[in-house]
Amino acid sequence: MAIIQATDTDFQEVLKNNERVVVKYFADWCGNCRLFSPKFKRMAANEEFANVAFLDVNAETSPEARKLAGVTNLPFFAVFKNGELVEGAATSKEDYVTEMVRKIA
Amino acid sequence: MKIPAIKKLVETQSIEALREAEEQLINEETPSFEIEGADEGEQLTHVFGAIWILNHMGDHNVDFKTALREFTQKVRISIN
Repeated sequence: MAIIQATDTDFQEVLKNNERVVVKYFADWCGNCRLFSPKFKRMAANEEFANVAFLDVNAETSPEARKLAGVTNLPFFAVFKNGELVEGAATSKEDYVTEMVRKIA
Repeated sequence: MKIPAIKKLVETQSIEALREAEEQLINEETPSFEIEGADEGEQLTHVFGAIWILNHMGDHNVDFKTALREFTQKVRISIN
């Protein structure tokens, strides 16, 4: 599935329209965020997660979406189910993020 | 992210050299000059920071300290 680029304008709408959501919060200054991009794309293409919506959110320009997950550092990943935050973590470890997504898939 | 590492890059490298280093780090290659950082991600953050500061200094005709303050403000905003 393609990664959805979301902002404060449509974040709540995307959460409402997708039962399972994983969000990668990033910023343009964040090197680890950039290096995680191909891993996130690979995860989004994984059949195991076909029922999960993958979102990219610029933490700098989307304060409401950022606060909803309690972003503390970047990259920050958050998984939502039925619009509710299930878990959030600042990490650059692909295995950790994969396990987070498995919890909602 | 370590400010002294960014400062060192601003003082010793051109934007072109930093852009090349950015590409190299993304492609898992070794840049031609030393970039401080615990891993490739932190090194890339230092390169992004140095590029942003150099651009900001040129575009707004401000000194390093002013540009650095605005850069760190950007970073703080992203995680607060």
